[in-house]
Amino acid sequence: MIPFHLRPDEIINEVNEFNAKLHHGIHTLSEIGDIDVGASEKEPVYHEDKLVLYHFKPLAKKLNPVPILIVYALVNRPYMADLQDGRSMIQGLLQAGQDVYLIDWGYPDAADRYLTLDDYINGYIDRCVNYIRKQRSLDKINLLGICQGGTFSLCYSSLHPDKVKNLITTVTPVDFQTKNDLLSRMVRHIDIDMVVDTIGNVPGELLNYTYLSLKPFRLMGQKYMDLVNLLQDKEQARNFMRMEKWIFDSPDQVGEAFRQFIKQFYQQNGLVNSMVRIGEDTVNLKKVTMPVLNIFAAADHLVPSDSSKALKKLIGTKDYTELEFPGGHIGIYVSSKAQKLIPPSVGEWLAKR
Amino acid sequence: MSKKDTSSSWTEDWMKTQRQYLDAMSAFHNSSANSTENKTNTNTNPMAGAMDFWWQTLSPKISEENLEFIDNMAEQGRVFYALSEQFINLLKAINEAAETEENWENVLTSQFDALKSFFTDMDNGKNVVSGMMNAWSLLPMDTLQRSFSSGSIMPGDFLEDLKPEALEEVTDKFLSIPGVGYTRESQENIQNGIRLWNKYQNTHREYNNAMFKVGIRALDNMREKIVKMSIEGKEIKSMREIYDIWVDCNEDAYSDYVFTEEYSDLYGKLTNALMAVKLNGQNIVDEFLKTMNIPTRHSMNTTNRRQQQLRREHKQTIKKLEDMEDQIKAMQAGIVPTRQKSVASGGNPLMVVSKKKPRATKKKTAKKKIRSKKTKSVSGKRKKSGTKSDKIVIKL
Repeated sequence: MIPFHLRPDEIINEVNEFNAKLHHGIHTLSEIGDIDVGASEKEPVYHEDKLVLYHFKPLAKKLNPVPILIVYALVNRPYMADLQDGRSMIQGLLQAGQDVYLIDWGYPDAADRYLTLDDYINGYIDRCVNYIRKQRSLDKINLLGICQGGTFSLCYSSLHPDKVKNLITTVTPVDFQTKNDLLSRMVRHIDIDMVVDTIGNVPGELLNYTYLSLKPFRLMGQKYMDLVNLLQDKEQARNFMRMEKWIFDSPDQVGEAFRQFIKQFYQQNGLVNSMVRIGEDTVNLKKVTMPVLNIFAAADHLVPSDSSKALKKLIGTKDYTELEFPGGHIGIYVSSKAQKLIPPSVGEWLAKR
Repeated sequence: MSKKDTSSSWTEDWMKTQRQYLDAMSAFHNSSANSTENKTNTNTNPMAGAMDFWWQTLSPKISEENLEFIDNMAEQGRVFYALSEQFINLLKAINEAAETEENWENVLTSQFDALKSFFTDMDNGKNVVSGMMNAWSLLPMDTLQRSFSSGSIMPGDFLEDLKPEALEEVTDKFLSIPGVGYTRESQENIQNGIRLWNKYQNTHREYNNAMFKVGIRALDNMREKIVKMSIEGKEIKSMREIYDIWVDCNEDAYSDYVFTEEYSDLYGKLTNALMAVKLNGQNIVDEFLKTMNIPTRHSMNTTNRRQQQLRREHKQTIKKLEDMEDQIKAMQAGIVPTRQKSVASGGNPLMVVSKKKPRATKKKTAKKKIRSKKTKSVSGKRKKSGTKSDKIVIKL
């Protein structure tokens, strides 16, 4: 039997309908103006170079006395964690009684080219942690790492276990050579020294397109076709544009740190093979002895869940918890399903510790 | 199967309707648009052509921030039209086959062969279905080229139009001439640059061929999927379904390939080849700048590296000073941090109270004698307190 059940008039109607929606959608988009991001009230409390440490205004009456520091990735911008009202992990954490700080790395430029992972982890992160410890007169604080920020948090916790009370990693790559990790395959044979020596800082635009190349037809084509059906009202258009803004808001990557990250983590799979050197020290995950909550996304195409789950066998803690989110890498922060699951789970987990 | 219209002109009518629709839409949005713009349009698909015209009139009114995004969306509109047009032809042929009792699967195969030619025709690829082929044409060529040229000291892509097919014959002779004289090194750099460019172009051609095969495989997959659907009694009821099947098949074919070692190898080779070209270009530029006594990239890197090292040392010094201040405050308040804590936080070990008694020397200044006495006194008062027992109470 021929599977095509299309009459010419139906095709005409369909294309006409598509035209009308496209036309309407484009006009909607042309009228929505600037896109605002951020849902929660915050104030900058510490500055250093381009880094800003933010403190969020607490929402709950009863606060966890131990603050939580969110360490974001160097890739993309941290407002993903606080995108908009109702789509904000930070808002959820605040409602769950957490006292939240966040590191915003800013946009590095050529003058920052020689920042190393040591500068980021033993420098910036450590100084932010010390700032909070000092302000709160605490020995230890809680740490929550997002994606690459989770990898940094792991390294930091291994190097400074005396300053971390509880560690939460979200969609964090640990094993950088799992079989379904396309990013890892793409960079495996690249001469990263020549890349960094040639271009210095790595343009954010390159990272954007690299991510798109993981699923090119869906992310550069089908997504926009689907969008035509969504743009019947301005609010939906704004929500979509907010995500789109975040996706393409990519700071350049500092050359030296990028070189070290690709070489040590991706090419040498350094966390698994205990070969990551940060400054004078080698990262030994067995030194991560504080309680760890590892959150990952089952359908993550950027950081495969296997990559995150590898943590369990590598760390030294006896208090390890896993939480699998049934969604993707970004959905874990912005989907309505995530809002109901992630922040309350983090709150409950911390409350027990 | 629904009722079929076998009129030979129905596709033309459909095109005409679409054109009228889009023309009307464009007239609605900008009646003052310059009609000559449309004449310069090279699109052969009337719907996509009208779409381009409409887009040209609308785009100046859209904010810069949204322009690229909306352009992407409009591009997918063009893709949809182009894909629709191709599948209209396919459906028409199948309908005609059904009337003549010809095997529809044979017609499907021959139509897919035609589709392969259409998609793999570079002129079509550039003019009509550029959006459709975006995934292949943009990645990684455009990505690497644009990103690395923006990050390079040589602005723009000055090598874009150099094609190795024409170049190689000429360059082979040129490259065989050894560099001589005062400018020997410069000549060799330029010769090396051309060698690297040829290598990059060859690797890029290899990459394009690989992606070409993926595109062909995607169409084969699509044909097989449609046949399978017919066997399973499934129906395709809309153009959007066809589009989605097309996307799925492309993603599957792409995924099958990019997870191979061959792809990983090729992607690395391509990136490395392009980097080598850019690095060579930078060295040549640096050489020119040097002769004009202008700071080179190399010298700027040295400056930046030294500056970073100074900043690092500066921060370490500040940290030490802050730790010392804290410890002085703590001492003033009657509390001294433990050796363990102080050392762990990078504090000044000199400020930590030692368990050992200070060794008295015969010749001491008055100041040293006082300090020694104080230390002794502190050591003598050390005691443990609770679980976090490292704190020591002292009296100065």
